[in-house]
Parts: sequence; structure tokens; C-alpha cells
Amino acid sequence: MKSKKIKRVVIPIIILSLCALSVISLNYMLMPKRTDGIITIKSLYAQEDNTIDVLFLGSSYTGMNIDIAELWSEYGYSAFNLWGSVQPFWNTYYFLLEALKTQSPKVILLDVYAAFQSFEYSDTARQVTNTAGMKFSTNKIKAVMASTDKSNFFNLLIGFPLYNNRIIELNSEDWQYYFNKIDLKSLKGNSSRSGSNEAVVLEDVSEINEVKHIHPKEKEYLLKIIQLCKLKNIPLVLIKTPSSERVIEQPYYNEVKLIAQSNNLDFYNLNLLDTEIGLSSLDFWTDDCHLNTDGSKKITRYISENILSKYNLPNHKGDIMYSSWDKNCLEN
Amino acid sequence: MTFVSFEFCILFFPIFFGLYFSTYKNVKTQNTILLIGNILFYSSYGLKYFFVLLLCTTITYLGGMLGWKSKQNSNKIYFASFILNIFVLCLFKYFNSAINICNSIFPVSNTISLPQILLPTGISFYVFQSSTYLFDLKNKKYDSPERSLLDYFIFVSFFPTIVSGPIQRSRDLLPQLKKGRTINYHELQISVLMFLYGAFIKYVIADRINEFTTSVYADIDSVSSITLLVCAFSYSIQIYADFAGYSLMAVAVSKALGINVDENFRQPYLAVTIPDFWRRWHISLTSWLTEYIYIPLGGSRKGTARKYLNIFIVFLISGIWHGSTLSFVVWGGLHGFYQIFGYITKPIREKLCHALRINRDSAIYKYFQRIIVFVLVTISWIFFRADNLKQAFIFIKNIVHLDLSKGLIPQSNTLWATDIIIIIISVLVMFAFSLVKENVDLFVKITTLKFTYKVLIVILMFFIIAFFGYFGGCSSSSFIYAGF
Repeated sequence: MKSKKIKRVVIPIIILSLCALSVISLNYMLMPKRTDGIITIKSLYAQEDNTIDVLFLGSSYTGMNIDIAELWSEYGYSAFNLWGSVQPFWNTYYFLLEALKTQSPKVILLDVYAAFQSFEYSDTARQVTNTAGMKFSTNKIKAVMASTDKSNFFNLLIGFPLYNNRIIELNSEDWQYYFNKIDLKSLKGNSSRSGSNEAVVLEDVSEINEVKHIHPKEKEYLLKIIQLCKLKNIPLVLIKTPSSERVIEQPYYNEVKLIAQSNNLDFYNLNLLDTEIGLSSLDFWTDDCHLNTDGSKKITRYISENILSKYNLPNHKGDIMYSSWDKNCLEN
Repeated sequence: MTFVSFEFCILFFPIFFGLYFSTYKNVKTQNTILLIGNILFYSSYGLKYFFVLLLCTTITYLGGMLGWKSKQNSNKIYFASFILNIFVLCLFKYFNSAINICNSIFPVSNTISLPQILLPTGISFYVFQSSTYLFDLKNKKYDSPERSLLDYFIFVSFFPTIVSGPIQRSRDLLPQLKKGRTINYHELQISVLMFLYGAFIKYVIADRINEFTTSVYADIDSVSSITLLVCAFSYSIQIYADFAGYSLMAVAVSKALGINVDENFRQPYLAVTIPDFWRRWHISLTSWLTEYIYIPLGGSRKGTARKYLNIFIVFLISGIWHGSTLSFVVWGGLHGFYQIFGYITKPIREKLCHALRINRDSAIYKYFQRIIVFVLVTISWIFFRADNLKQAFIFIKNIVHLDLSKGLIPQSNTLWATDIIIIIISVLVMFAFSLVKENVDLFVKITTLKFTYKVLIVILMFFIIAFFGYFGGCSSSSFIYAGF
């Protein structure tokens, strides 16, 4: 009688537990296959250990303005673009911690667009894109804690509650990722677009000397990134790849310049170098803030010849261990 | 922590459930575990609010003890304790609104600065709930006051119902704490089904519709009259699915713990009159107001005019209880007016039906009545949902003006076509369920099915909630708009 009672309680609990487990196992299938954060970090995990020499970090200004394939095809540099959409410095910091578990880059370039951001937390969609792809670890727990408020902590940590409705949108790409049909190793965080946008107006910001304070939380994590790189003895370069909303952004980059100076870091604000780079032409912009493929090639070449050339980076072309960069080039 | 959350389903409830039922042989231990569970659950909303809960518990418990001991002044003591308890509610819920009203009346130079008084979660519910103890003592529903402070504190802080009800009477809940509760397999099955259905209507229907109604109310001047009309009716469905869904989950969790709590909603949109609606909607509040306000005021025993006045007062109190802005008062007053108007016009309507040879017991007539009630209630919900009275009147005015030139879809809309389909199908399911439940207790009926069918129903409901529930406020379209 007692065993019957126990069975009557235990069996439903087992059934509901199995239901919960099957839902959790579908987490990756339902996860949005966003190349602006989720797939980016997942493809980082797929890289061979200690093959990334140049690590780019930041937001879409990194993702769309830097051409990884160009760095490989022209210079043989094994670069990786570890970025996320509107990524705040706290997500960048935890992405970096994850990267440093398996990689020893010779130089890190951090786009400082996040210095302009003033929110305590990103919107929910960006919280997902900047954390969901991370492997479960203490870094992920801390990243989620930094990314969202207490009430949404478990939802973001599990992820599933925030994108469960994708069940009705599943497509062939989701199945391909789920059954490992996509070669994540050949993905290097590239994302570029063609087209041109005549609406972009590039203003001269060289005379803007006003300094505006970066949001305390962004500043806290920017300094953490700087300290981490110092601790790991990895050269860190702060850059601002070209953006069009530069007038309102410039005062914040002026504070970044001060932070860079006080930490003996180089800071390259490419918003001040339109003519030198040759970006005045409106043909290089795909939307109202990002560069198109041609524009990103220009910037990438400039960065390579004026910044990366200082770090004696090896040319890995022909090395079989870096064949995934060849594949990446072909796909891009 | 909400009922459908990782913290509750995975961390809190399984451990609590195991400890709770493992101690059924010792009532005191079991009740201690229940109290700890209550405290942990309530503290998840903010530890600082716990002290307000403790205050109300102390006021009503001591008031009960002192009142019982004092033979001559017992009623005065009960009344004083009740007033003190209500004062705590008023302080936290209405103080800020009162200051705002004063500031709007007095000159700018004399404005009163607003202290930040936060509203403790569930205060409206547990103040009313703890007050039932004083009323029950006054009305001699007890042979003696509750001796056990532990049991009394459990009654006030009972975690399944503390946040959103149903409001329990002390004479119903306290006796259930006097004996050990064991797992009842049949009740557990019913509670699982209730919980899943409650979660279905709340998370699949209510939270999804909420995306639409929120986007409309955020910009009522930019959408067409049709959109506003659809929004009004959608909100009627939303508020029912939300409130009834949560209430059902609360009842289910209580039932799983072996404590019976009455259902709070009984297919309210199948009501044929406004009084019938209030016998089906938020039943625990209606019965509280009836027993502790309406009847002591005289009810219907002191003439027709006094009856109407009493009804109006009760519904004004109901409006004030629901919220601190004037729009809630108008909402309550509107329902009072509906009832009074209904009573006044009842003889006329009966004569009219007789003259037109309308069979008032026919199904068609009943559906006609249901539609009228639904429309009247929907109009009142406009005031309930609006941020303020002005917004409510603009909402109604914009509907009446029949402006079809403006956009149909609100600017901040995040629902897709598939969401609309999900809403329509789910609402039809909910409606069908309500129709059947009017005559048959479906939850009990399902428990009589074979084990395999029951399991399939539970699994199906689980997956529907898991895949179509709206959690965390991140819709599919968020990822499209969240471009690079």
C-alpha cells in the first residue's frame, strides 16, 4: 500500500522531470542563431587552442567594420572577431575571459563604442545575444548577473524562457546547427553587408574637446578589461572604428582617451581620420552607422598597416593548423 | 518568485514539498516548515516588506486576544484593531496618491515633498485576510481565540495566496492547520491539472495579449477606433486569464499541500447579470465585502434606497481597494451604478420581455444577456486599465468618434501574425473549457480517465505552456528589431 502511494507520487514527478529535461535539451535548437553574439562565442569555442593571434572585441562596430578575411588573405593574420550586438563592456569582459581559457592572442583590439552607452542593462534581446551562447560556467553566471536584474536572472541563465516561442519559427538553419552540420570552426565573427547609404553625413569632430563621463558600470568593466590584459601580459589597443553619430559620441571618447593615457594604452579614434583612411565617400556605408564590405576592407587595411604591424604578427598562410581561415576566406 | 519560475518549480517547491509531507505525523513540525516556506516565499519579493506583514499579524492577533479577554469592550477593541490594520494598508497604498492630490490642489509654493513609500507585495490581500479573524471573533464564529501564534502567522502569510489571493477567512483556513496533512493522490492529480490550466491561460493567453494592450495604451491617440475597440475587448480577456490563471495556480498549490482553498473565479463572462458577474468574479473579495461591509451596513434589510446606497458604497470600497487612483474609484462606482440601474429597470425589462413574448429562459436570451454583461464589464475595464481618468475618457472618446484614418497597428507592437493565431485558438479553448466547466468539474472528470490518457494530457499541457508561454518579455520580433 505504501509502495503504491510512493509510486503514485514518484511517477508523476519523474514524468514532469523528464518533460523539463527534454525542454532543456531543446534549448540549443530554439536558441536564436544570431551571428551578433551567440554564434560568435560558439564559434570561438570551436577554434583550435592558441591559434588566434589578433582578437577583436566590441559591438557591431567591430563585427561589421573589421574584415577578418581581408586580414588573412592579405597578411596571413589569424584574427577573430568576438563581438555582440550593442555589447556593453561587461559582456565584452566575460567574452574575453572565455576566450582566454583557450587562446593566447598576441594583441587585443577593443572597440570602445560601449563608452557611449548609458544603460544599466541592455534590452532583453541583447541580453540574450550577449550571454546565451556562452558555455555554462562561473563566467556565464557572472555575465548573466551583470547583464540583467534579479527578477530575470534565471530566465537569462537558462535562456529557454526568453526564446521558447521560436518553436514556431524553426527553420533549416536551426536544424543544421542543432545536428552540428555547420562548421563553426570556419566562422571567425565576420559580418559585413554590401550596399551604400547616401544619408550618412560625416562630421568633423576634431574640435570637440568636451569630456563626458562614461556610465560607471561601463567604466568599471572597461577598467577590468584593461587590468585583465595587463595581468595576462597581452597588449591591448583601444580603437573606435568609424561611426556616423560621432558628434554626440565624441565627448565620451575623449574620456576614453584620458583612461588610455593613464593606463599607457594606445587609443586610435578612427572618426578623426576619415581623409587619411579615405572614408569620406558615402559609398562605404551600408546603413546609417555601419560600414559596408568595401568600407570595412579599407578600415581593416588601415588597422593592419598602422596598428597591427607594430606587433610582429606571424603570417600563418600555408600552415595546415590554420586551414579554417582559408575556409573562412572562401566563404566570405 | 512566481509560481512558474525556475526558483519556485526547481529550487523552492520540490524541497519544501518533500520536507512538508515527510513531517505529517507531527503537526507542529509540519506547520513550522510551512511557516518557513511562507517567509522564504514572501521574502523573495523583498525582505523589507516582511516587517509590514509581521505588523499586521501582530495587530490582528493581539487585537483578537485582547478583545476576547475584555468582555465589555470587545467590539471596540476588535474595531480599533481593524482600523489600525486598515490604516497600515492606507499608509502604504494611498499615502503617495493623497499627497499628489493635495499638491494638485494647493499652490505650487506649498507642495508637499513625496516620501518614497513602497507598496509591500500582497498588502491588500493579507490586510483583508487578517481582518476576517477580528470579524469572526466579533461575530462569535469561534469558541475561543486562536492560541497558537505559529498557526495564526501561517494563516496570514500563507504563501500560495498571499500575493494575489484568494482571500481566505480565518474560520476556513485555521482549522485545517490543526491536523497533519498527508499526500492525497486524487487531490494531487486535480492540483496538477489546475496548475497547468492556470499557467496555460496566464502565460499563453494573458501575457501574450498584454503585449498588444500595453502597446495600444502607450499611444491611444495614434491608433484607429477599431484598434481601441479590439484592445478594450482584448483587455477583458487578458485580465480574466491573468487573474483567474494566477488564482487557479494558487488554489492548486494549496490543494497540493492538503489545504483547501475555494476557487476564486467561476466562468465570470458567462454571467447573465452584473450581480451574477460578481458572484463569479473574484469570489473571495465579493464575499468578504458582502459579509463584512454590505451586511453590517444593513444590506437589503433597511429599504430599497438604503440597499442601493449600500451597494454603491461597497463597490466604491472595492474600487479603492483595487487601486489608489480615481480611475479605480470610477471603475468601482460604475459597477455600483450598473447594479442599481439593473435593479431599478428590472420590472420594466420583465414587462418588455413579456410584451415581446421573449422567453427569458431560452438559450438565445441568455447569450444575449451574456453579451450585454460582457460589453458593460468591458467598458468598466477601460477605467481599470487606464493610467488615469483622463486617459480612460480619451480612450472612450476615440472609440466613439469612429476615427478609421489612423493606423490599425500600434507603433510599439511586438506581436506577429502567429501570435494572433495562438491567441485566437487559445481563447477558443478557454471559452470551450468555461462552457463545459459550467456543468461539469472538468478537473475531477479528467482524473477518472485511464492513467495513460491523464499522462498524455499533462505532457501536452506542459509542452504547450513551455513552447507557447510568454516568459521574460522577449518576443520573437525583438530579435528582428535588435539588429546590429
